[in-house]
Formats: sequence, C-alpha cells, structure tokens
Amino acid sequence: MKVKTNLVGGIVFIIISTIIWLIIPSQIPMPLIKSAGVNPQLMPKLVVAIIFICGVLLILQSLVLKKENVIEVHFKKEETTAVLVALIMVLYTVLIIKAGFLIGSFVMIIAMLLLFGVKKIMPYVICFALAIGIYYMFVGVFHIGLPGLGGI
Amino acid sequence: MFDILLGALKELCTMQNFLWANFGVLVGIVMGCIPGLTVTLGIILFLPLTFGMNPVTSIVMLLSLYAGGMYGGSISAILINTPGTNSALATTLDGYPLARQGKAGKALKISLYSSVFGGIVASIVLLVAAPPIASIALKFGAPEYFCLAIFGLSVIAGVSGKSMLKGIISGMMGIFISMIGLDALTGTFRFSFNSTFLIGGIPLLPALIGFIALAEIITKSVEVVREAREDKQRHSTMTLEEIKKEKEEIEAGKKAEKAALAAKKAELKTMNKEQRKIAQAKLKENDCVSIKEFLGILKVLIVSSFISIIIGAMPGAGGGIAQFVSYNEAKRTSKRRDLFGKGSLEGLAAAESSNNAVVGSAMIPLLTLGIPGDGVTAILLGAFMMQGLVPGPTLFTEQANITYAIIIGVFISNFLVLAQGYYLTQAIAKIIQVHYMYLGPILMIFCFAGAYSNSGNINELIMCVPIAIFGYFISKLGFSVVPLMLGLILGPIAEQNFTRSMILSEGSLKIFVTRPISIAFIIVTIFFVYVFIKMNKAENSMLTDEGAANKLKESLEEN
Repeated sequence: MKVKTNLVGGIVFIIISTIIWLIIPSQIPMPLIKSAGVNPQLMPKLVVAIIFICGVLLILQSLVLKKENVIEVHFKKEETTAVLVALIMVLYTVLIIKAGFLIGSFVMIIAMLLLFGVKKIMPYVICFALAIGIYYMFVGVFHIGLPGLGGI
Repeated sequence: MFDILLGALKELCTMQNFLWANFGVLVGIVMGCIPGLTVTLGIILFLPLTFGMNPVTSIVMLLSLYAGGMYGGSISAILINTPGTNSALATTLDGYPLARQGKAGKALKISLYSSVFGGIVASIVLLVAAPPIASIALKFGAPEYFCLAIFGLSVIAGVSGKSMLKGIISGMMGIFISMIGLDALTGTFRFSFNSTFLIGGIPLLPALIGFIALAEIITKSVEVVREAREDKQRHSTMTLEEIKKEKEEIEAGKKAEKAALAAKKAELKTMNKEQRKIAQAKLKENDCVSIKEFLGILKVLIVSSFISIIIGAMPGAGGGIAQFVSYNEAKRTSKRRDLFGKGSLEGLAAAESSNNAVVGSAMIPLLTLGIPGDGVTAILLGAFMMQGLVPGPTLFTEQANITYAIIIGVFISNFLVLAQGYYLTQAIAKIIQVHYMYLGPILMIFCFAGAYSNSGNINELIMCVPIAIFGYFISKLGFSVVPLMLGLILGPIAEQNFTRSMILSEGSLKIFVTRPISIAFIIVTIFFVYVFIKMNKAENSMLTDEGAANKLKESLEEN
C-alpha cells in the first residue's frame, strides 16, 4: 500500500494538536494570581498552534502543490514484524518487573531470535552469555542496581 | 589561568580517567565501524554506565566514544564501501578505491592520522576560543537566553532532512513532551492526567532511549526479517541442486581466499633474500604511510581541519556537511584532481580530518552557550545535565576545573584514538559484518538496563515502549527524531527564560528587541534559518532519486 507521508503526517498531527488543545483547560489549571501576562497554558498553546499550522501546511503542500513523499507500506509483511517487536518489548518490560532482569532478557532473546528465524543453537548461547555479561557489568562493575530474580 | 589549568590537569590525570577514556575510544571505534550502529546510539547506550562516575570521567569517556566513533566510521567505509557513520560518507569516495588497489592498510592509516590531526587542531581551537566566548556570554540575562534558545531551536531547520515542516512539527513535539509534568516556575502540573506516572514528566534518558535506540531496533528488525523472508522465498523457488550449488560456490570462495593467502606465504618462503626484501618493501609501501606522503597531505589536513572547525561550530551543520565541503575544497585546490574518487590520499585526508575536527568544534557552542549543534551534542548536553553540570558561560567560572579538564580530555582522547587505531584496527575490522541477529537483542538489553538504571523507577522503564512505538511511527512518516531531541532539551530553557523575561518586563515583549545581544541573536537566527533552507534545498537536490552516495559522488566528480 502506498502512503502519502505529507498528507497522512499532516492529518495525524492536526488530530493530535486538536486533541491537546481541547484538553489544555482541563489538564493545566490556571493559577489564581496572574503575573506579567504569562501563565502555564501559554507555551503549550503556542506549541500546539504551531503543530496545527504546520500540519495544515503539510496537507496543502500535498494537495495543492502536489509535493509529496510516497512510501510503500507492507502491512502484512513488514508492519506485523514491527508490531511483534513492540509486543516483545512490552513482554520484556513486564518480565523485568515480575521475574527479574536476567529471566526477562533470556525470554526476550529467544523471542527475538525466533522472529529472526534463527534455528541454530549457537546464536542463542552467545546472546545468553552476553546478557549475563551485561547484567554483571551493570551490577558488579558499575554498581547500578537491576531487578534480580523475582523482579521488583 | 595557569592555576585553573593545573587544577584541571589534577582532575584529569587519574588512572580511572585514563582507563575509562580508553574504554570510550574502543567502544566508539567498534560502534562507529559497524554499519547500523551509530555514535549517537553508542552515547545513549553507554550514558547510564556513567551515572556512578564523577563528572570529568563521565564526560571525557563519552567524548572519547564520540571521537573514536568518528574514526571508526571510516573503517567500514574503506573496507566494505559502507560508511559506519553518516560522517564517513565522503571517506568511501577514495578509501574504498584504495582498498581495492590493495592499499587498505595505507588508507586506514591515512584515515587514522587525518582523524587524529583534525581532532587535535579542533581541541586546541576549543581551548583557545571557548573562554572568551564564555566571558561574553556571562553578560547574558533571561531575554538573551530566551533568544539564544530560539537560536538553538533554529538548528531544527538544519537537521530537518527533506521537509522543514516535518522538522518543525517534530521539534514542537519535543518541546511539548518536555512540558509534561511539573512546571518549575508556576508549580502547576501539566498533562499529568492526575496520574503519578506522569507527574514527574518524561525524563530525558528514557525519551532518548525510546525515540532513538528502541525505535531504531524496531526498524532494523523489520529489515532483518524482510531479508530473511526474501532469502527463504528465493530458496523456495530454487531446486535442491541450485541451493547445493550456491552453498558450494560460497564454500569454494572461502577456500580460494584461504588458498591465495597460503600461496602468498609459500611464495615468501621460496623467495631468496633479495626477492623477499622487495616483496616486503612493496607490502610495506601498501600498508604504511611515508613521511613524504604525510607531508603531501599536510596542507589538505590543515585547510580541511579549519574549514570543519568553522562549520562544526555552526549549530545544525554537523560532520556530514563539513566533510563534503572540505573534500570539495581539497579537490578544487589539488594538483592531482584526476585522482579524486579513484583513491586520492588527499581526498581521504580531507574527508577524515574534517569529521574528527567537528568533535572539538561542536563543543564550542555547547560549552560556552549551552546550545547543542546536532543530535550527538544534544545528547551530550543531556549527559552534562545528568552530572549536575549546566553547559553555558557559568561553567567556565563556577566549575572551571571540571570544564578545562573536559577540554583537555578531548585533546588527549585524540592520542588514545591514535594508539588504539594503530594497534587495534585490524582486530576491530573483523567484527564489521557482525549479524544483526546478535546485535538486536543485545542492544535491547542495554536500552532497558539503561532506562531502569536512570533512577531505579519502573515508570521510566514502562515509558520507553510507547515512546519507541511513537518514534517508529513518526520516523516511518518521514519525521526526523533529531529535531524532537533538540526540542526536548531546549524547550524548558526557552520557556523558563521567556517567563522570567516577561516578569522582568512586566509583560512587555519589547524586552527582546531593546537589548542589543537579544536583537543580535534574533538577526543571527533569521540568517541561519535562511542559510539552512538554502543548504537543505541543495542537499535534497543531491540526495533525491538514486543512492545518496552515488549522487554525491557524481556531483563531486563533475566539479
């Protein structure tokens, strides 16, 4: 599927900026005393307005000036891989918290290598060894605490 | 001044600093030489390891990594025609042809000496130029700092890539993300959704890890899986015999390589003394750089280093542009223009001295004004902040010893690059083609360990994944994450100084146009934006259509 990045990007950021603009009053309470014309809502509103304007300009660039950057997106073939990697990252985060850094890393390595289609045993062994090495480098050498067995 | 330098040397000259600087150089060379790993990624991944170090050790290690990475990029550029870093693109033009002529050893040494030369000249300029700039910057008030931050944000125009509109959106998203959490000036919570998760805002390190490192892992993994699938498909259409034949051809290629090496050794053994001497002299000629050759490139080294120092000190320009400007100038003034693109030592020297010169010169705006010039210095600015150092003029007065120790550290790191490059390049070059199936999981482990170790807070770990997904999504749509990083870092500086200025002027915007330094910054900002727009147009016209390197190569050959 071909995606017009200027058009889609413009639409996405117009939506994002509109949502942010609408939630600003509820998310940023105004202080009781106003001083020198500045308030905590000023900068967010300015930034969001610039995003909105640039989004509109991107759409105009695409539709009126016909200046477009088209990319080929393969949802089935490629984006499923991206989703799977993101899911592995989510699983890794959960496992670090619940089971500990090393166990989480081992599961993540297995998942990633399976995703890459690795069937030989050696890459798994090497990655496990490196994971243990990195863990002890953080904990033993740099004295930076990482979740041990059993998680946090 | 002498006392300060002496104090700085005392801070710097410790065994711990020496070892970590060496470690930084080694990691930098390795990260730089593996295509797909970048200096930026290296600094992000190793940033968490510096938390337990003192500021000098930490910053010097990261700067050594930066310097090592800039040299490391040339190794793969010379040996496999693939630049390890963007700043080594011009190195391929003459480095690879030299390697194909059997002069890979000579090319690597020229690249090493040139890198070190450029790095040393730039660090001397940094040492001399930074203090006077900082003393001027000491006179800045809030309005000047606001204009300076806006000037820094104008860098977005220079690092936006193909579309400046997308760059501005990306930069504004960075500023927006920096506003999440507690507003330091008014004490108001912004966009926290009454959740403890967002009350502290989005810290810099998880944001950097998510937007750059993890988003990159997703992108690369997609590529690896696609390649594996394509390989599988190709194999599925082949008969068993064809697959067997392909395997045999690969094996035969490996065997032929080994046999050629063995034959060379056997030939050396059968030679008499005279013949062996001649053969060894030829080998030495292809492997080493003679004094005559070095003197031949000296002029190019000096000119390229100074060109790159000027370009590198300009926010937004970066090593890539410096390299091509220096290369073009070397070609324009050379007596042997015909050799450029075919294995010119001058061309290689111009390209390599320039990208390392940028390391030192990019530190000038960072240390004196607190303005990062590109993605790497933006992360370094974050590293300074995490160590409790605030880059800017006060760094030279309140923490002079540390600042000068860092500057001298940049100078010394070049000698470490020289030593390691001389003795270890051959060994390091062997890992150029390490497969991503090893790198992907290991990089992910580093990312998550780094995100957690920032403060030991699981919220920061959890934040990384949605940030990475958002980073992957916007990069897919052609939005660069470099402007986002600049916005993330410069946004709070701009906002805080804007608010202070408004309080000072009782709400009048005139304060920004009635102070001479502020006006000067506004004019400079407008000028730079104009220059960046012109530069982007020129760069885009070169980079469209076919492969970037080929296009640049052709345009350089035409000149």
